[in-house]
Amino acid sequence: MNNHEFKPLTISISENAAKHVKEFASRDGKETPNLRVGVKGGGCSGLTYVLDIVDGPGENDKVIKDQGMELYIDKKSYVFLAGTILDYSGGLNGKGFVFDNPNAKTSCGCGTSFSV
Amino acid sequence: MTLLELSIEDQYDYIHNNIGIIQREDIGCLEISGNDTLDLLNRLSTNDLINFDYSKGSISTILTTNKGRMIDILTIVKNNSRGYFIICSLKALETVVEWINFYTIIEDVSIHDVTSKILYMTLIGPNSSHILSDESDNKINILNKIESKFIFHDSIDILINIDEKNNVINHLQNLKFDHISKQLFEIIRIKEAIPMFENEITQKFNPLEAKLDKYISFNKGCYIGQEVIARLNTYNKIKRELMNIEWDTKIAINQGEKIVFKGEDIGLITSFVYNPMEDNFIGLAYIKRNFDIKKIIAKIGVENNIKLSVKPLENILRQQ
Repeated sequence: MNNHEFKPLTISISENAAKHVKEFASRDGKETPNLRVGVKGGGCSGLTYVLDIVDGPGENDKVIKDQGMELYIDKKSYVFLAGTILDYSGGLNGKGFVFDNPNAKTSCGCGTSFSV
Repeated sequence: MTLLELSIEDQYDYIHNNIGIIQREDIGCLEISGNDTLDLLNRLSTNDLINFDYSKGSISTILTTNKGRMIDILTIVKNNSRGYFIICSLKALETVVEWINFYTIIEDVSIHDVTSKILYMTLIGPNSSHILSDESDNKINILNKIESKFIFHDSIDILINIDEKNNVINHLQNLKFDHISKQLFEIIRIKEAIPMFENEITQKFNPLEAKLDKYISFNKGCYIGQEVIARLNTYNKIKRELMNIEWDTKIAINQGEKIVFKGEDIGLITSFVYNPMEDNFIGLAYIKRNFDIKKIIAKIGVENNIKLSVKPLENILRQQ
């Protein structure tokens, strides 16, 4: 019998990334830091990550609550993002928001696009 | 007697003084619409589709993989009723639709195959790019005129509704235009080194090797394959490129045959045709770059001792 705990693939956000989302939301005058996470076609490797601070979910969005905020993901993007951890890399050499995506086989040099 | 009943030589003479027409059964047409159409296509292909003025005509761009290899050349032109038409190779149409649909995630884009509803024709001959004047346009209903890919022959492509076929053909024949053969069209295509899907355009080759720099914007930003193409261009890393080849003797070879010179594979034949005007065979081949021997004795497939002329394409003519 397999004793491993079954964890459904989800999308999560690190404490540091959530802190920065809240800062950006506050600067935009948003009371609730809700974040749309998605992908779109393009970028050197095929798919590019999309982040947007929004007021609420779309009709068919998956809603994930994490770090005191809500993440909204459309169903097609979710296929490419399941298991992803959104982190933030700060400092002078930091890259900003960073996606640790287990579905990404390759990424482009700047890290903003990936292929599956 | 129609032009098609005459020899290739006579047909070729004809289009030096008159206009020849050919119905392009090799072409597929998609209708694409939605608010994100140009933004999506711009992210998937090589040319700058955002800053082009579509009232001035058509723009060609290349759909590339993330390795910078070619899927097909797309020509984008405004569809006056809605959205845009995408002109591509008929054989590539299904792949093109699947590719665009795969990358349509959150975008407002819809795409439909309208190949059976249109007729695509190439007109070739003196002043053909201007001869369909406003007066003619009023007599026939052309959906759009599309810039020809030919450089050395005056030419234009037209897109019409299939319901207008008889009307348009009658009108063109009244203007003394006549049909030319597929063989003559293929001779002209090869002489002008126009890449064709499944021959020169495959996922083995990239646009720089096919000398299609004119369909690439090097400053538009990211698109699929951009990183590879930009690096190949910046560091001049192209190892082979499309060239014209010629030989005199009839030999049993196939498309895809290797060219071997002094025991070394130097190229790959992608197209060839008999050219009765010069009683020789002409072709296109991807050949090692900087190969500066213009006449060689080569082995092609199983055929030995073929006197082969290799003609690198003139770069300046391949660029806008």
